[in-house]
Amino acid sequence: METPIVKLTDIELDNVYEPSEDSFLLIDALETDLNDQLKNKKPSMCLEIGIGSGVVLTALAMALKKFCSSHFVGTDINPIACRATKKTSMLNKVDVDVVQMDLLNNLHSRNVFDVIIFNPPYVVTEPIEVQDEKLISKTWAGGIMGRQVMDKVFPFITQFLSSEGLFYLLVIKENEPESIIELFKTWSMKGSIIAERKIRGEHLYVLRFQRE
Amino acid sequence: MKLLTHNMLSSKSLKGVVVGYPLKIEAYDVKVTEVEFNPEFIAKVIPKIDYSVLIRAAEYLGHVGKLPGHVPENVEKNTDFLKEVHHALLEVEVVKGDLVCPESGRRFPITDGIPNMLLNEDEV
Ligand SMILES: C[S@@+](CC[C@H](N)C(=O)[O-])C[C@H]1O[C@@H](n2cnc3c(N)ncnc32)[C@H](O)[C@@H]1O
Repeated sequence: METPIVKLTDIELDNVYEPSEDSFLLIDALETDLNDQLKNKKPSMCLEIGIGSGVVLTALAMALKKFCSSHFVGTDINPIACRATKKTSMLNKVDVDVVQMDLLNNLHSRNVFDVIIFNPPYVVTEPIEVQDEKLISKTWAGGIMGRQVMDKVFPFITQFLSSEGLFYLLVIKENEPESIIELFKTWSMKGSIIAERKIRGEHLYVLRFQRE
Repeated sequence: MKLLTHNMLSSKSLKGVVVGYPLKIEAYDVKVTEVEFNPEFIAKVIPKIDYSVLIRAAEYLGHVGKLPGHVPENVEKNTDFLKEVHHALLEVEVVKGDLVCPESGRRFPITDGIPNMLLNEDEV
């Protein structure tokens, strides 16, 4: 998968999550899946929660363009990230519609998305840090077990995913990937680890979920 | 914001709001850009949208064109219809305006094509 060009200004760099190892692992995992199944499934609607610079959804849009048309929606709580994503998508000549919102709060629940992607704030922190107003803190502060933000969206994924839909989630070891896979069984979703990488101080995983 | 995205937005997260769907649109700046027409894609998207909401949204923006009141039969073969839907869903964009909650009247500003749906703490 071609890596999108991302150009962040100094102000954006201070406030927006810069494409990092986790972003790239997610892109690599999507690339493998593109060849395995996505290009045949021809997803018509794709959603990314917490788009940041827009690097991941833009990469997917660029790659899918060769196989099918799809609509891309990205959300973020951070207005500077929303703007950065618009810029990234335009720079790479793809279309991403961006909406500023808290997680999935303002999406009308209907089973429309064939792909949902989430690289959440996953770092283990004090619970109080999740409430920090600073936009850059919101890119990483995950609270207890690093799960406080991601746990809020898990119960709603099945309300937004289409019947054949796939949910891609980036986590680290401390988030306990196996327990997340267990948790999703409650909603009749089966999950597996489709990629992992060890970098300094972090063991990253990409999980993929679909209906049983 | 394209109307396909509008079709999926709600204000249900507002305190006291029951459905919060569909949101009204008051547009001050609307842009029309050409997007490549893919009939197969549009036919796949139609079952995923609320068609009556699309009609209303297109009305707000003055872009109803020849969209019929209801989805006709055999959509896949009806290229004229698919083209109209394609135009309304993907080519018309709100650059500046407000989304308005149908129940509370709360406004959500759209700037540079990005709706801001964030609420204040006392609104949730
Ligand atoms: C680890 S960064 C990932 C950014 C980008 N997707 C990437 O992979 O490079 C997490 C993103 O989630 C966003 N975020 C955090 N809390 C959020 C919330 N409650 N609602 C929406 N987005 C949120 C942050 O602003 C940030 O952009």
